[in-house]
Amino acid sequence: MIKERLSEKKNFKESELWFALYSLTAALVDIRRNGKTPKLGDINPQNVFVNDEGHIRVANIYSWPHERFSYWKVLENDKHENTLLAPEDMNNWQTNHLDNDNNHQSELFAIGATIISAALLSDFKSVYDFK
Amino acid sequence: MAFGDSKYSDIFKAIILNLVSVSPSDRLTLEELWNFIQPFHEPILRKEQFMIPSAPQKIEMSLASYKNRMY
Repeated sequence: MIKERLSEKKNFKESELWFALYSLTAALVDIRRNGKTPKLGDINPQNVFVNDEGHIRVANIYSWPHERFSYWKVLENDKHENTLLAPEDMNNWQTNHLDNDNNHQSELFAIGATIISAALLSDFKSVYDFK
Repeated sequence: MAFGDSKYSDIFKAIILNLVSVSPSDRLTLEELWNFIQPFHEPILRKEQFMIPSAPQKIEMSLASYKNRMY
């Protein structure tokens, strides 16, 4: 989502970010209504794409054979990897107390973080203090 | 540059900053967010500007504190 804009040094317009927010939220609502999977997946700028028509696509994490879920990155203490885990998930996972029923609050965090990364064309970790 | 200082509208920044609140209970729920933005789906999907007459209480509160800090 960000890589192309960064190379062009072209910021996202607010209308484009509203579109991204709406699309990602609609996807979550759809998943919740249909009960397809408990989670949308690992939402982060690497997994969110804008196609030629300007539509938002969320890639399945299994599209990249060598990619790991954010939980595993945190467990392996790989702080250099990109993860947008919500603070409560980060704490819960590190204390072996994983809450699978947090009403999508952690995914809303990941959506907000993805939008901020897109708005600033930068890594969310550089603008957010997780401590 | 901080997101709060960016060129985007105050209401947009307030919504996004709410979503990254440290405490999950401070964030809008999925239902609250969807009920808020869904009525604006036409201009959003056409990528047009639109007016937001009112926002959920959690957003109004963060918007008020954000404006108090700005002015």
